[in-house]
Amino acid sequence: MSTQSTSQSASLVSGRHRVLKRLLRDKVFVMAASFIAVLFLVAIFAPLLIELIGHGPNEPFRETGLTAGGVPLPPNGEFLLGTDVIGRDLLSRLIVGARVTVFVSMTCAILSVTIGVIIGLIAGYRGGIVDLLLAGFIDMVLGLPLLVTAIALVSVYGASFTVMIGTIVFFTWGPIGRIVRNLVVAAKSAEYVQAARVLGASDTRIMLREILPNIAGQVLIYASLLIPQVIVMEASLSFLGLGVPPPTATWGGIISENQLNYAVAWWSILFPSFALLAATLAFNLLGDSLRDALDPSAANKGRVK
Amino acid sequence: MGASQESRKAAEGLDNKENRENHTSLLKVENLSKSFGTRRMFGQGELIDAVKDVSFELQEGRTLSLVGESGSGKSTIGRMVASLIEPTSGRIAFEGDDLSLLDGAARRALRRRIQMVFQDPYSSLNPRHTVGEIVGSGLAIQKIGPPAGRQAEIIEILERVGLDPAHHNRYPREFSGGQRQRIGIARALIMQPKLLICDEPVSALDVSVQAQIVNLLIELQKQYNLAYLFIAHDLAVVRHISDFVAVICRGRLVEIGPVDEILKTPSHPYTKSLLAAVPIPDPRKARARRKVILKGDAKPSLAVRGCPFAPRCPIVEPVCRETVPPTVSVGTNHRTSCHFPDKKLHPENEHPAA
Repeated sequence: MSTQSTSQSASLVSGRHRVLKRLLRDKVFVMAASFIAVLFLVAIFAPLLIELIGHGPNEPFRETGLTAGGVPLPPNGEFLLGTDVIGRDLLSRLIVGARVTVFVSMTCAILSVTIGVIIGLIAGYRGGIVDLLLAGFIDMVLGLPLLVTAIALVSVYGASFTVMIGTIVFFTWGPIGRIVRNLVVAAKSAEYVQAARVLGASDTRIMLREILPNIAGQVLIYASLLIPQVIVMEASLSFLGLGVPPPTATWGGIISENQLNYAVAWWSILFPSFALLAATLAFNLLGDSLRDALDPSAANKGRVK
Repeated sequence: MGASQESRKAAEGLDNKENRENHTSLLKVENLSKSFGTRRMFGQGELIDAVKDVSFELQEGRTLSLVGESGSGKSTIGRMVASLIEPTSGRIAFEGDDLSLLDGAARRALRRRIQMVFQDPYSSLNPRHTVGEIVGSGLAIQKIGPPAGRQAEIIEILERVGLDPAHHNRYPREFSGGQRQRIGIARALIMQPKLLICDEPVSALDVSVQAQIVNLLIELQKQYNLAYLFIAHDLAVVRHISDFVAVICRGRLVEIGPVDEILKTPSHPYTKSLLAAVPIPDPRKARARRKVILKGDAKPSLAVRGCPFAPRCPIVEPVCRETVPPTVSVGTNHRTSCHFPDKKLHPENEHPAA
């Protein structure tokens, strides 16, 4: 009943409306998207929130934040999520961590996808040497261990945002490039590409105006699934001290700093771990929902409802 | 010749016709060849002649149909004329200009004059672009006229091909196969081409819709004095639209001539076999017809020494396998490449094959 009426009305509205309608009906999408929206708001308004809380993220409260014996405080009225081993407010630090996570994951995702799309488009459309080099490069990256490379780079250049983002992008653009390359190879055989060539279109125009709009949906899906990977990479690098240099708070860094105190201060491990889990999960579910909405033929195959 | 075609030619006027006869050809193809190599990582793979030594001419406002089985190389010829692929050797001249000698700007300008209508009405329209964007894309690509004025041109051309101009901001998926093919025709037509390459433009459509599209093409030819290079395998459609027919067998042109002569008095055994395969709607007549059953397939193969049709020809003689038959004239503008153009496929006293 409703399927028939929606399919009829669907043919009248444009594709974007249909995708949006499908997404809004998907409860998982709405929940994941809401969580991500909150995460972004926290990241954007972090300075404001911290001012509201009144505890600087790097400020040790030795008098109020620790017991007389120097033990961290559990969640209480003053420190809503408790304090860490040197008496810093965990909530303030998590908020700064959210800012770092959002900044790093977005920067890396945008850079990886941009590089991957450009190289993938050229490799897929032109073939030949670019295609061979891309394939070779990806094989090489797959053979390199992330952490060993990161340790080598940090030992040479020192830990910094630039080194961390560079490392993550280096390891993530290749697979995106390969996916784009394969999508382009499939799309370029379509007759509309030849039609554009007969009309005199340049290669750049064909890649950007004819092929890219047709693969943008899939690229978006892979990009949203790339973000949780980047979040985990960032946390791993920061946990090992290869990421953002202290005292800047990051979720991985907080877990690392408190790992020896979990017996006396469970909150200092639980809350950052939960933040990490929730963010990763939300982006993964968002990616799944996007895939289902943009490519209904693949829906319900990989997902239990 | 169909009645509609008769009147069409009469309407063009006598002096006009005479002029055209003296005029140099719009399109002149000479010894066109294309060989594809099978890809190998190391060394050269096998070379396959998709098109070999094909020559023909096409006058302004006329239709030349290329017919042959699938895989015979007729689409490859169309693609070379459309500059989608480069010929291995040979010459394509358009209005006297050799296509291979033109570069950059001149070649782009020429794109306007040679346009193409594609076979698949689904794959040939970008699903992400609106009908208006698709039809106007040629103007945008070639930067013809001010962007503001293009809308009017798009509306006009949509009306011309029988579509509702109000639908210009809809997407291709909202249209049927026949309507989509009209969009494809509009996209080519807006460039004001002189030559339209139609690569099996109706073979993907319902029979009822096929006639509408063929009639549209005939109307447009009259109105704009278009020349068609019409690639088809359906001889019923070819009969309706063509002035001349070129028969392609395994990449080689085996017979070319006026449509009536080719269809009524074919000379090459391959043409005869093709005609014998045209379905007849009357089963009684169909049963009475002499059938020609061919063995083997139409795949272009390596190193064909003699006649391309020799391996499957019912009247083959040893000489056919050794030497390429000469091209002989068997009528006005009617040429055939056969060692034995006068030999009958079925000797009179023999029963037709069952």
